[in-house]
This record gives sequence, C-alpha cells and structure tokens, in this order.
Amino acid sequence: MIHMFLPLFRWVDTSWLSLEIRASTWQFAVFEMVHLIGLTMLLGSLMVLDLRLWGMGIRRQPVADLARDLRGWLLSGMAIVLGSGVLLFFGEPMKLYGSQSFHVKMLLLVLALVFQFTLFSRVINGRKNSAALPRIAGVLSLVLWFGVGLAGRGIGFL
Amino acid sequence: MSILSICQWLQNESIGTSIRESVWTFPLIETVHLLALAFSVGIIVLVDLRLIGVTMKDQPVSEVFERLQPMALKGFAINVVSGLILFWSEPMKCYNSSFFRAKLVMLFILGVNAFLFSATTYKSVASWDKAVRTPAPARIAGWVSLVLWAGVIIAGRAIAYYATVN
Repeated sequence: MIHMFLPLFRWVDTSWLSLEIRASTWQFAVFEMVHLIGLTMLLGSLMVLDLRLWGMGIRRQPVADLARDLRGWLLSGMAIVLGSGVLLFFGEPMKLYGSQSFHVKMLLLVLALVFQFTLFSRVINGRKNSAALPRIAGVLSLVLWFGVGLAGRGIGFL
Repeated sequence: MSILSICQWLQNESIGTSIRESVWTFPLIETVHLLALAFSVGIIVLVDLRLIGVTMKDQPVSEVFERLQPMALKGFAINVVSGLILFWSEPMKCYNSSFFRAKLVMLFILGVNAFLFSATTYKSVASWDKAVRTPAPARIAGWVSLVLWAGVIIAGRAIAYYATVN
C-alpha cells in the first residue's frame, strides 16, 4: 500500500524545504526536541483525561468539564507534535519510505486521530454512558497514542 | 574517589557494558524512559499550569495538586530508574556531555523549586485555593518548573546528538 504514496515521498524529497532541512546541521535536531515537548503535552493531558475515565485523578470534576479544561493544552500539544512531525518527515522522506516502523506509526496515527475526534469525543460528552464504555475508550485512546509513540521510537532503532 | 573514576569504573563494569552492547535492552529502556515522560513531566506541567492559572481554573489548586502529584511522582520514579540504567550503560558519554551536566543541574533546581514550594507557599493554600490568579511565589514556582522541564527534555535529547565517547 505504501507504493501508492511513492510520488508524494519523491516530491517531498526534491522539495525546497527538504533540501533546506537536510543541508542544516541543527534543524532536524531542534524539530526532534520540539516533537518531544509536543509529545509530553499531548500524552500527559491524555493520560490525565483517560485516568479520569477510570475514576482516578481529578475525580471531583465531571469528565466533560475536565475534557473542556484540558482541550486547549491537548490540542496545542497535538498541533506541535504534528507540525514538527511534518518537518521531520521533510528531513528524511526516503528513509521513512523504507521504514516499516514509520508505516505502522502512520497507520496508528490515522486510527488515533479518527478515534479521538469521533468515538472518543462522543464518549467524553455522552450523558448516558454505560459503566464500561468510558473505561474502554480510555484504554483504547492510550493504546493508540502510545502505539504511535512506540512505533515512532522504532524508526530510530529498527 | 572522584566522579570521573566512578564513571570509568562503571564504564568497564560488566552489567553496564552488556546493556550498552545489547541489541534490544538499550533501545527498550530508552523507549520506556521516553514514553514515561507522559506520566511524569506531562502530568507535572498540568499542575504548573494550574499554578499559573491557565488550566483547570475552576478546580481548587489543592485538588489538582493532591490528585496529580502522586501520579506524577510514580511516573517520575519510572524516569529515574530507567535513567539510572541508561547512565549505567554509558557513564563516560554522560560524564563528557555538557548537556547531561546541564540536565542534572536543571533537575536539581527543579527538586529545590518543588521542595520550597511545598514547604512554604503551598502551606497557605487554603487562603488562595480557588483563586485563578495565585500568589506570585506560586506562579513563579509554576513558571520555573515549566521552563526547566522543557529544558530537561531538550538537554536529554541533545545528549544522544552531541557527545564524545572517551
């Protein structure tokens, strides 16, 4: 399936931005650091929200209220991690084309994003949830997003 | 015995060497160290954000602090243990890395900051528990923590980039 996207990788590979990032000794490193800070923001706020779905942590606040409180921070983290991720992608497109970890990461990322903005937000804002539903949603959210992180780390090692 | 000689001894010691040279152990521990950021720093910064009046504004400071602090400490314990193993496996690289030294200094200041906040400003939390605009010392403690934790992450990543081995 990845072959389908080969023209995209090739286009990125010859783009001005890619050449610029690859010619620089420090840009890629800086984007990676920003990527990690975004990851900390995103996973940290998700963790607090998902623990709340299990009845742990900030228990006094209704789930929907906590989700609204964390929303700004969570979405900022997501924007930072996605923005720096695109720049990292421009920094080594052909390596990523050949990396199975990257393929898995992108698949999990799409699943995580779709889940987060459809089923997950419905459970968060739902008034008549069964007892089990929020817990399942919390676990699934963590599994998907930590999966993205795990596969991402794999790019550097595998 | 100097710090250098301890590092040299660790460097040549067999367990550290076997972690350094293994195919799986080092990457695995590094991954744990990285993803545990979500449990530790990711949660600590939410407490900081409440202290500077940015998130969970309708929640009492004590509620946020007392619910999240224990979780963050557990996460931090994972970071400390995995970090010690990583250090054990490449002590000389760490010894020679300015970023590693900067990271330790920042962690130390973070510890002092957290201790001073709990021992002084937080004692009077009852009188400003519901305030969005918390007292200046609380806001300063929050900002110091936010900035230095970002610094810890940046320096931590930099250790792998810029280092001389011997």
